[in-house]
Amino acid sequence: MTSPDATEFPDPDLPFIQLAQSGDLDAFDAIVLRHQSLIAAILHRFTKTPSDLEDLVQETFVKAWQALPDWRPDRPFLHWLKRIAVRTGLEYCRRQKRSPLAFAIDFTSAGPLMADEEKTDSQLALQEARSLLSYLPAEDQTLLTLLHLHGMTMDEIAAHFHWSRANAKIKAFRARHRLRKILTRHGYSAESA
Amino acid sequence: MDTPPNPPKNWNDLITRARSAQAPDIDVRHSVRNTIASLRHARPVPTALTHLSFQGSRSWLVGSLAALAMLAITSAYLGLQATSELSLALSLSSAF
Repeated sequence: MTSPDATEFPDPDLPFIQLAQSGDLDAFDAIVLRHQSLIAAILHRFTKTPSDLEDLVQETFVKAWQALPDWRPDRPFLHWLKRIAVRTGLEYCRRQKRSPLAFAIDFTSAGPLMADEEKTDSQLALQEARSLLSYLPAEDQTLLTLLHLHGMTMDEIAAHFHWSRANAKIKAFRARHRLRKILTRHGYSAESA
Repeated sequence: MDTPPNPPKNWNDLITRARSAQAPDIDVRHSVRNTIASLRHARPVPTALTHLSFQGSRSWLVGSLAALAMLAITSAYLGLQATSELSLALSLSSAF
């Protein structure tokens, strides 16, 4: 789908991207510098530890570098990069499910670099929200992270996953239903989900 | 006096607070660059084909392979002739 803005307003990253596509690592450095904060903000709501966050942000940009030859100027670069970040977040959720240590980390409320009393209220809330969402299957966890913690619209979520809007709404409905059961078990009001 | 039970926690309140959590400042340029550089310099695992094509650059091997091929073709031709003569002999003997 061609964005109308892509043709009317050139992508501000276009000069850097074209240089990076020819192998210029300095140009790609500039792209990383411009967007790493935004990518970190997306992935921060998936990851449990700061080192995991760094790993995922790095992984996102390495994947972007490898996929750069396939990027076309009719697709806004930032949207394309955010999709890579969301897929990286989804893969992280899947890996966490498979990891035998995942339960142990959740049980000990990891944020191993900071004691709970050092964290702000919002950080503690994020930790609690992530912990509750982690009981869901990876795809549901990712979907509701985007929906609840990022406030993304259903259209944006559907685009990230290459779903139709109707399919996204159905999946969100089912995911919310599963989440309500989890919330009830953990003393949350079921109607609030 | 009985302690009133804790009111149920509210998910919407939780995520409203969670959304304001800030991501830490990170800079992954160095690690990204190192990873890309290591991907570029990674030596490809040699396959049998690449190994053979490398060996084929040596003239003695090329000559040997050519001689082997000629031998195989000659044997096949001679074998075909022998087979034809044998089948003729068999057909003639069966006629009698």
